[in-house]
Amino acid sequence: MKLITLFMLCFSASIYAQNNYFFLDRYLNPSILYDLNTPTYYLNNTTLNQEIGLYERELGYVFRIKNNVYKTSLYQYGYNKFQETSFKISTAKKLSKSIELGVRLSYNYLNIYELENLSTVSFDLGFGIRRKRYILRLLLENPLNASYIENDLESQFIISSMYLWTNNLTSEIRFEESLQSGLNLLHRIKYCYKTRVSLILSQRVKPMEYGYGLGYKLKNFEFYSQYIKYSYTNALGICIVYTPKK
Amino acid sequence: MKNSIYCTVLVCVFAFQVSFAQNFTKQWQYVESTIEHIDVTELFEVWEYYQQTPLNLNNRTHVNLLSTLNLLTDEELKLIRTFCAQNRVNSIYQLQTLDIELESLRRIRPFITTTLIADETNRKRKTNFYAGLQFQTPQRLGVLEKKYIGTAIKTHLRYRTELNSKWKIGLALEKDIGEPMYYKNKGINNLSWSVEFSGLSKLRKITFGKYDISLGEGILFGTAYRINNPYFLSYNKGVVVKSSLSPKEYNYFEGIASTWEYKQITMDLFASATKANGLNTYDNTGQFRTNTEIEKYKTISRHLVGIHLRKEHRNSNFAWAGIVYKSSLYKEEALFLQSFYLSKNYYNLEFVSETACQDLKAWANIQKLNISLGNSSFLTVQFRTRESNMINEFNSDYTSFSNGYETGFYYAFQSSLTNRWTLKLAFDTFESKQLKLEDVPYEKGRKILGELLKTTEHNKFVCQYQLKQLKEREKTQKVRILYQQIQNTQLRWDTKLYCTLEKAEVNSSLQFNLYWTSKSKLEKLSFSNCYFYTHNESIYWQAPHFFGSYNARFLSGRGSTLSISLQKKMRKDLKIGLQALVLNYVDRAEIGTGNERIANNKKLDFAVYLKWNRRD
Repeated sequence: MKLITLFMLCFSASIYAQNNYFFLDRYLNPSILYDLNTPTYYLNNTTLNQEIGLYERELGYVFRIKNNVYKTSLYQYGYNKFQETSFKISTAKKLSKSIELGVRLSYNYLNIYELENLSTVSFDLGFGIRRKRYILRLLLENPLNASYIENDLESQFIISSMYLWTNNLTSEIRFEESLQSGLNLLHRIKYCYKTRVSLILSQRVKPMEYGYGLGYKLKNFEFYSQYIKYSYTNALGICIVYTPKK
Repeated sequence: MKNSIYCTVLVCVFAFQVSFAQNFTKQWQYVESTIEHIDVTELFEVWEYYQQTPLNLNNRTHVNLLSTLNLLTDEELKLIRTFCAQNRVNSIYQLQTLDIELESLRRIRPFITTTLIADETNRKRKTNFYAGLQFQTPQRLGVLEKKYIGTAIKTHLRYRTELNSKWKIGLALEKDIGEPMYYKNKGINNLSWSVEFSGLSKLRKITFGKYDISLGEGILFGTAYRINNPYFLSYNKGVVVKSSLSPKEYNYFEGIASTWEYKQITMDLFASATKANGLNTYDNTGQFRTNTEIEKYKTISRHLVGIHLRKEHRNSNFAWAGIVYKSSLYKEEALFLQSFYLSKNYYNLEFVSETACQDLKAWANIQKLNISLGNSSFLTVQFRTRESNMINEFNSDYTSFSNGYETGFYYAFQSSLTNRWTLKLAFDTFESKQLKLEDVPYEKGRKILGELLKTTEHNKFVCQYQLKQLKEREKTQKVRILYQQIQNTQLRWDTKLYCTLEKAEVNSSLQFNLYWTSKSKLEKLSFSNCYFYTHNESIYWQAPHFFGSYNARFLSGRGSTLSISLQKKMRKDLKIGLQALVLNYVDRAEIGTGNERIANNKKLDFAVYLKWNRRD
């Protein structure tokens, strides 16, 4: 029902849809920060399982100091008896005309109701290379394999290649090699209708999962919604992005 | 400590020399993108040899040897061979008139010449010296508990020079971690030397010291280094005898060898006396660190005397080799080995055959038909067989899974779909001839290989697929994807994905390599990162090339690797390199077993080298 409402809204909106869909992405590459308008505020919320109340949400702020872009965010995952909270700060720098480097530092805190309170610090490295129609991004997530106890914090290497077919059509193939779950492949297509409305289709190979998302812009606000059919649940997420006028 | 002193002395001896510097970046870049398993140290040994002894394009034998560089495609080799056979080549730049990529010619540029031997008296003498050290931390149990006799440092020294246009000498010394430099009663550890004299009338070359022998298609003797690309298998015909300073500790000969030429007949005479490692069987591990291991060091005596006769015509070659071979492992009489080789060209067809026999009782055979279809397509059909009692100590591998004792039929097709796209398809069926107990059937199966390759000026894309199916066993599938991008003259990167599917389990690795060269070209930096996750099959991983280091591993389990290396030209003639390589497992608390056990889930390998290249 929510989706239908959003779909109607996006067609009635005569506004320009921006490429901030990746705020809903669980594995945001910090080198991507260089593409963002600043300042930007965003909030996303994904319900992973309604029965037990499993959710994932993030509140963040992107800003610029001199030539550097920074992002701070508060991320939460879990349900009432198990809650993981991360405070993240990331920054990106342009090394040359076509190369970007990003780094993210996270303080992770895990609370298991009446049992454990654990914390750890981890970092991620992002790297981006651009060609005219092609962008390659690498993400080294938690390369030192920091853990609460042992191997319980995701550590993976992601290579993503994005090809810009036209100004409206973009496709992305992403290889993810995780130390926890092995190899996974994701491919995603994004289409912008008259640069106003965006539609995203995605599919994972192992296990077979798929999803779709919609986005539109209303004045300084952007709204995104996505549905993902995971092998273990159905996830529904929304994201609101606000970019104040300068 | 002794190692350090030894290095310092040798470094000082040669430090005053004025020289030039040559690196093999272009060559390495090409080989890395086309071949999966490469023995880097062996390949660089070959390139260094031919850099010092360039191949003369006006000499037919030399032109045939271009294939041993592993730097040209079959199509390019064929074009160069035909051109050189029909023309007198006055300058190497004449090759630019051929339909060959300029980049391919640049790759072979350091290894070719058009100068006749008579004119070589004025050419510059070349000398190179290399010293490399490697160690790791945390140290292995064998080192910590002093079970290893030697120090915890791997050392590699190599010196090669031309005394004048006729004489060349070379010396190499290597010891692994935990091995001593000197074995009591057994001499210096892994010492290789060679003295080469060439250019005296009918005696073309005489070689003393360590050398390789390659006969015909290599089913009897084929010890020289070559790359077997299973996606289109074609043997690189090499020189019969080639001196070697390779650190390999098996599959080589040592003694004296000579090459004589008279009209169209070439004769090679060779004699070798070596001591192989092992007690009841050959030990090819190359590691002799504890008292028990050292018992196996150089215990098996092997003697060999042989003759090889080759007659070359314009379109055909015939060769015969007769060898008397004696190994103390067999405790029998000497073996009499023979090889009969024939190759015949007829327009776009080439037929090659080699038959080898042992005392006329055991046989091995290979028949090959190569067909050139149009301008850019090739087809090869090969039949091979080897009886189980035939000697198999020095032969070349024919397939990526072969143990030699099998009957097999291989055919492969290669075609350039467009200027940029190339397709290769190969099919292999085989049946093992290994001796088995009664009621145990011979293992047989088939293999299918496919490769799609796209090459442009700035990037290369390779997608390879293998399917191996053994009878009554689960099939194994492998996928390898490589994408290489030359961003600009300073920056290059590549990504590799390996994926193996065995018994419905996925084993995978994802790798990224970055190569940066400074504007002045004096500094080079490389970075490599790889994550791997395997269930039931190991994954091959190779770090960016670092001079003198093997740098490749078969990885099992779950973990990641990280390598950073810096190479810098200190002077025009002097180069230094530093490399750190971290291997991190997340599925275990310690690495290895026995004396090799490291009481940590991480290990750091550190390597450093110094290299001089001199020309005067």
